[in-house]
Amino acid sequence: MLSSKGQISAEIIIAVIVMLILFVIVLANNFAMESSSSDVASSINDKKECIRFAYLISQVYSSGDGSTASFDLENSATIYSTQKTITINQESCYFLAPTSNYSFSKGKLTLFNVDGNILMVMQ
Amino acid sequence: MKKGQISSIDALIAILIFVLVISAIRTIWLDNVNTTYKNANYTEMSLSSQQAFDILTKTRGWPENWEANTVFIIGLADKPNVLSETKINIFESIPYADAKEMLSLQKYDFSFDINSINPSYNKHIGSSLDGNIIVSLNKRVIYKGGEAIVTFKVFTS
Repeated sequence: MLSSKGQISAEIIIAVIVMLILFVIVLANNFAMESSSSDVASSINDKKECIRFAYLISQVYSSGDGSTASFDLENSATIYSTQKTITINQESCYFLAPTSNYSFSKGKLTLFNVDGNILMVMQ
Repeated sequence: MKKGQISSIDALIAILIFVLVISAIRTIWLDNVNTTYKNANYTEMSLSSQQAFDILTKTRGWPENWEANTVFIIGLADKPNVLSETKINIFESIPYADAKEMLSLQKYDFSFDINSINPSYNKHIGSSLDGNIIVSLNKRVIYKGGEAIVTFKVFTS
């Protein structure tokens, strides 16, 4: 080599490559954890909403004829009366009350106990 | 070694520390996820237990005059907190797996105990095993004309 001006050593190049690889690993790890965290949070929120809703239906039933309650549904929900199951997105949970099949989108619901049957109306 | 160079041992130690830090972060994160899931499962278990206990002790069930072969929802009360002897006897005759399903406790095991002042009125329905996480609920009720304590336990096996 005629001149050493402006040259960098092979060690520096290797160090930069190693740092870049480590940076990519950190970035990939971070991305994987972030997307996984968001899935976990969303599934837990759906589950929580499902069990709160199921519990409320059962409470309106156990409180007897004439009792009412309201519930803010943050996601779409489907109620299967014979299986006594509510499904919100991928999560499902159980309630204990005689009712009908319903399918609701997001919104405010009112629950009525009419002669031991639970009626639900979207406002 | 020339000035400004690092030895390969230093580089290896640095990479090792880096890998350890990343692994520790990942382990802590996974641990947090597990704890969050466990908390959510426990909340589900305690609310399912509470709803089954309320339905059993406060309602007549569905249909109101249910029999073992017609029951859709098991309720043991004539009036809230006044238990029906007839319904408790029918409840006792329902196969355990069916009772779990009717109480929406498919994922768990349960036991239902009545402890009366008169020991001959005492009842035990459900599983006799004790599991890992227990939700234990109890209340004072009227059974066979006298006071009794009902204990409802739900657990994972």
